Amino acid sequence: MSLFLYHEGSSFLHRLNPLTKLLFVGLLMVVLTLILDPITPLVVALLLLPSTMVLGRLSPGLLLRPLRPFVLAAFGLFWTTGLFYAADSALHPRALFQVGPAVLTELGAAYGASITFRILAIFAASLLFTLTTEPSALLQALIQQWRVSYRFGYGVMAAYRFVPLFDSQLASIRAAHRVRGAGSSGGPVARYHRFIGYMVPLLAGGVRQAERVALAMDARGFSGGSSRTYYRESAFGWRDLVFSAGTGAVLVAVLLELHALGWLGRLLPPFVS
Amino acid sequence: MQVSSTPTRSWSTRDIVVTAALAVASGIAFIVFDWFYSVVQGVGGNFVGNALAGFWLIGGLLVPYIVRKPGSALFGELVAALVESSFNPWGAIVILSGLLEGLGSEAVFLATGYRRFDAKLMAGAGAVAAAFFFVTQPLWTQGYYKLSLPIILAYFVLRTLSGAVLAGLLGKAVGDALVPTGVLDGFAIARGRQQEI
Amino acid sequence: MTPAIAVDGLTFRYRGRKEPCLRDLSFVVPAGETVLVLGPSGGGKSTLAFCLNGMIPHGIDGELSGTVHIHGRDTRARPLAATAREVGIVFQDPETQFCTLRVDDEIAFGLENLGVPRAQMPERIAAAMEAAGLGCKPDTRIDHLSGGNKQRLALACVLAMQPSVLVFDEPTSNLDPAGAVEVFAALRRLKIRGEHTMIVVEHRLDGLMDLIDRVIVLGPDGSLIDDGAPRRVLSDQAVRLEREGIWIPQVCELAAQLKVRGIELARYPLTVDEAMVELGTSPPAPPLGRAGRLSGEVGRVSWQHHPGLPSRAAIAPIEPPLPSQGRGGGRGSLTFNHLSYRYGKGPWVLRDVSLTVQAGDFCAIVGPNGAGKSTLAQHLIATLRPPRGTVFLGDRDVRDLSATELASTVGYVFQNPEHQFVARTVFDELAFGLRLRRVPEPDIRAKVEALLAEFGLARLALANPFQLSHGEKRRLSVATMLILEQHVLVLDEPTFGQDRRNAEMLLSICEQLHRNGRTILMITHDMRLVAEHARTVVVLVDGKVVYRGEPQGLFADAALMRRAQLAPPPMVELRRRLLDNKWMDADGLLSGALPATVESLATMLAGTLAPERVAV
Repeated sequence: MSLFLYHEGSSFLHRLNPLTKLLFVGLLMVVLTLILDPITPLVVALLLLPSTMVLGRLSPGLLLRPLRPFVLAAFGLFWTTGLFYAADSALHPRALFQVGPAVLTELGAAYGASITFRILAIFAASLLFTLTTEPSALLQALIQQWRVSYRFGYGVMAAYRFVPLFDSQLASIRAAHRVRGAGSSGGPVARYHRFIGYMVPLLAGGVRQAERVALAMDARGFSGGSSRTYYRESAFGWRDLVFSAGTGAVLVAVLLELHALGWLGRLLPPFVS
Repeated sequence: MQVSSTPTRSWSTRDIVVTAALAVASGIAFIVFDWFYSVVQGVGGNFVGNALAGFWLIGGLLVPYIVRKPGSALFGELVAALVESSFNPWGAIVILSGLLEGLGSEAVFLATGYRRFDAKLMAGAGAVAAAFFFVTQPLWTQGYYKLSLPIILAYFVLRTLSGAVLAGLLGKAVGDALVPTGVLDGFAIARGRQQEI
Repeated sequence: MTPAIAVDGLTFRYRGRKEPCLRDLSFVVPAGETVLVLGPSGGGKSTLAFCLNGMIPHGIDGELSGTVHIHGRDTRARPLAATAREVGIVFQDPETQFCTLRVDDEIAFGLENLGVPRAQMPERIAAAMEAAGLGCKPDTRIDHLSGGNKQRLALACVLAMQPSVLVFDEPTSNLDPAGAVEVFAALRRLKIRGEHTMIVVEHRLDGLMDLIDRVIVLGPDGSLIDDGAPRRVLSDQAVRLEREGIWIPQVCELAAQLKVRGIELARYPLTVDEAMVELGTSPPAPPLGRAGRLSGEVGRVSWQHHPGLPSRAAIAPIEPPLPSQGRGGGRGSLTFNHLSYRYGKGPWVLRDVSLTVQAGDFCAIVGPNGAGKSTLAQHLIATLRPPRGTVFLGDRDVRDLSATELASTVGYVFQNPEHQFVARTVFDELAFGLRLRRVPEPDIRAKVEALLAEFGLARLALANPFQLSHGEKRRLSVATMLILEQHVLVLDEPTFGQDRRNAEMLLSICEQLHRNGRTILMITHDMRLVAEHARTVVVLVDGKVVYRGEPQGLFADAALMRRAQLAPPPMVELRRRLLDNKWMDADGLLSGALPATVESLATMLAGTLAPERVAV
């Protein structure tokens, strides 16, 4: 079973430059942080998820599986945000729910929802990135487009190989420790010792393996001159332009529509109060 | 007779790949805790989130503790983030967060000239990294700024402590446990240790 | 003509170590030759490889004196990349040679470093794959390749850079036998093409010797012990090599043992075929590679009986191994009852396995990679939770045992000894299990010290376990399992990558334990181990048990061996071929049930060739 979430394909989204997708997520995050009402992020999220499926030619299952733990966490996010909402208290919003001294008001609930949907939208965008971006493609883009030093870039690329390797080694270490009787008892102190007990062989083995990889890389002339060529060429193409323009346009359209409906910027949609 | 030696300021291939491997291993260990994290988060929400947030920063603390080169905190955190992004659905956000977190701890190490690595400094670096991240990211993106002040402070303190303990002190503990194994002999941490003895 | 490699007075000491790793080495390798480098474990050979490709002095810290010339050019004077281009190295570990995720990206990596224009890359990648015998698609994920194919990929990466010298640093040490065969086949292809000078560092020599033109032997201090034709070097140095713990081809061991018994073969055999010739039973085969390279003797020769050679008054008679105690279902027996298992929703790894290992047995589990051997063994220690009624230790269901009881019944030695270490010192490592059970400290001290002495680890009592050598770590991991005096000991690939001395020490410890009544279960690829030590062998293919019985029966069934991707060890093969060729077996020993160890075979053969010299 592969740990990597990247799902191989050659869809429109797959062919986008990874940096475009990364910037998209970043900008979306900034824009949504400025928007306060709960509807906008919800709309964005609801647009993003099916678009990702269609434009990325991904099955629904691929998106739903990571969403499940998120839904669980979303509940916690909602109440720890909504319950403590403190701005606008002068408006004396209607109280919905009381937990000890803290009161969940109408506005608080709306705020909680707003934040939760915002995180959902960012998550959806991030999922788009992760599912359609091959790790080495991201690094090549960083090296070739953003001029990150190729030595650091390839060094990191080598580390991707360690992900499944260390994962199986960690499993073996845990089994071996169990056999020794270094049990699974509770208690934070015991947990701490166990954690260190796992990390030492994992990291010790990891450092040695990394050294061997570095030797193998240098042995093939890695540290050599600066006249380096690239097998996989990374570039910006028409798709990136279309994507950027498209997402920008959609976002603007959503904002305008919500403004027209009078919902923009308001925590509570007009049909409530 | 020729004596060959690698310069200590610049990064050799070995430095780079080992750093990356350390970052990966730190990230792997936390996959184990990841499912636990989301379940507990469902109940505890932001409290739990902030209290456990230090875990994500360990790349930016363990790596500079071992390698002790300028830039290693930022690099360590970024690599951890980049690799984490391949198996964590929060991928893109992890990368952007890693950048901010790394800048925070890097600042502390640079301020002390990459010379101090005692427990107080490590805890401090972890705390500053967490605090810097708090102020630039969740405060706004997760909407903390509209919450009641005591709560904002509570979240802030939780996160800062988490950074100090789960990243700074834990990172130091792991590094210290590794030194006697001998695998870190080629790195600055071992050279520093020898001087201490 | 300029030799491909000219080493003169080479001495190298790693920074931080007291002693040099290589001492005053001098040798010359003409272009096109294939050289085997032998030496004890300890890094000298890998260091030599690095000196040849320029990593020393450019990429590795240390003190270098003497010179290395590749095609007449001094490695110190040229940048690393230039020498690295001419000398390619294939390393030992298939998992740590790569830095990308796909086959074509990996091969392209070297080309990128060289600055080869992008347009030329696909062609060179395809050519390299073809030369290395790698038949998969170029966009295959490296993770999906078998061990043998990964090493072929490593070879392709090197070949793509078009070096003139190839260095192989223990390329098959981390592979199963099937993988080793693939790598040797690749070497054979390269040898036949004759385009490269090859330096091979190897432990696994059976099956390699027909490729070798010359042997260089390094001593434990890194100096040159011998250098010359394979036949001469191996016969002259037989005693010394054994003393240093260096593996030599089994037929060479046989020849050495025959010599002790007063029989000197005229031509020292390097392969089973040659042994057959020497023993007078088949015509000689033509030499491989360049004509006349394999030390030019051709023609039928036969063994010679040397009355003048010292013979031991009584050569130890062949001792049959102690038969298994054969108590079924008793304490220390293992039973699997219709066990099936798969990971999650993946394919079934074990299919309806029903098997009993008798108490006190010495059982080997063999089979191709992925057949389910480790999975089966891990059910014994409940790492994988078997359903009730499927796995029994003695009479008790594994599910009924607590973790502590389980640990007291079964000792499990993992393939990577480091994974089991839990303490900061060797002493604490051994004391760990006892301390968990609250044994009083003085008793602990006594037991631990006894075990340390027995395993040769006494002087390391306060060392950190990770600082031990590979052999010492392995012994420590076995010792930690024994301190609780379990009845059953399971070992996962115990001789993997070990040199001769450590492997033999470990196996003699296991034999000792077996004599004391413990049940030994070994997962192994090592057919020699199976032939020489196992009383019972279980063959797993695709999760099913396809054979359970004595090793003899397995080796006799060629179809089964093929199906399980196993090859008989040389002594077994030699014996079979001698019998097929109607070797005189007056006392019926050769066709009998005795295990085919080098000693026993030598005694049997000597018994026929010179009966008055040998007491049987």
